[in-house]
Amino acid sequence: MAEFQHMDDTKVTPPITTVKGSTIHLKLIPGAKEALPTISVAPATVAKVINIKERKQANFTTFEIEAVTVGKASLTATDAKKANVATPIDVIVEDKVTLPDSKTNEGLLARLFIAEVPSPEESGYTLEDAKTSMFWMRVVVENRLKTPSSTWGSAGVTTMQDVIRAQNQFEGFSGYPTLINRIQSMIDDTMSIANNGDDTRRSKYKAFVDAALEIANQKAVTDPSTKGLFWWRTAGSGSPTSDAVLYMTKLKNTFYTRK
Amino acid sequence: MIRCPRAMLSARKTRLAVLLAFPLLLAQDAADIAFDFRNEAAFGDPTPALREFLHSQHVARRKPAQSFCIVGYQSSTANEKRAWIHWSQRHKLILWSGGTAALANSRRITDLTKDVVATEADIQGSTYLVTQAWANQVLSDCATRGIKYQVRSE
Repeated sequence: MAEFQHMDDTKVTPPITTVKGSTIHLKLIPGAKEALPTISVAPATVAKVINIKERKQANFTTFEIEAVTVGKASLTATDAKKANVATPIDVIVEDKVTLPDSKTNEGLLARLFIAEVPSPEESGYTLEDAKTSMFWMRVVVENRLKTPSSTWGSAGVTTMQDVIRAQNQFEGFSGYPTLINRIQSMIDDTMSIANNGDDTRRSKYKAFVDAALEIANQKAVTDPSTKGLFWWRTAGSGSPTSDAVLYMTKLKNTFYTRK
Repeated sequence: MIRCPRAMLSARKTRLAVLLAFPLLLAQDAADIAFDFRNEAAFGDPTPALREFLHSQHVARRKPAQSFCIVGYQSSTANEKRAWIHWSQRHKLILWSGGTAALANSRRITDLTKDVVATEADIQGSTYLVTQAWANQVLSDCATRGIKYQVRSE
């Protein structure tokens, strides 16, 4: 039997999940003494095979699958008699994940979470901790809005955007919706990986972005602390003020409550 | 990496053992202890990541090697590990959290010329500003137990 493989020689495990607009690079290794099969994806309205390159001497074929629209298709390899020579593989095409408009509170919060919560590639990362961190960050923002004070940099604020744009409060966000280059490219990289069907990190990044969207879109959040979460800091970088009490360190950020 | 004679390495190992045994008196947080990032699977040799980072910062390969000093900290309560990388030429402290994430995407790159305030009262709730005392302590820890690297862009 022939075998579909990724370009790093690992066997393709069904189903192949990709993203609309993405291109996946694969290869097909024929069984012993088999000729190079014909590769196709159907229906072509969902995904299509492009750039087929037969390496006759080395006896394998490289090709790409271009995801056209959201749906399900089947990848097959057939011989001259149209018989399957490899187990057909489902190709699932998902829609792209996008951030809400930057003018909305949801868009603002999602970008803040992606910038401030460690990514799936950082040591110690778990999706559960990332969600908790995002949730607590939202609580901090809401508390600063509900109770404006210079103690947590929100004196005179009337909107969520005021809270997050407050001078020197959240790195790179004081000119929002324009972000400093470093923060903008971090967010762009995150979204690019989450939408790249050819990237082995995609599923973890997609779940990370989905979590940011879910918590940004929640109607209300409940403060987990009794005295109110009002600050977070990079773990180990000291207290935000003498009025703060350490609540908990979660995924390399330390959250603080009032005394 | 800077190469050291065996006797110096031995002295460094002894010093490290002492540091690992006792919480740092003046660490980043009261409960922080030192850790050697080189022995951690999630950290290890930073040279490839530093090369890639320099490239991302548009430091040309023909430029002189850049100086980095790295010092590791571990929270004794949350088992959370981090290292700070001091990039001398650009006056920056880069948070290295381990794992495969690119250093350019570090959650915190502290600009020692802009992000440092005099006292805790001047932080005024910021998530990222640090005090001069904190920055001095990291640089001092780096001088005493940090590992130094000279790296060129890739």
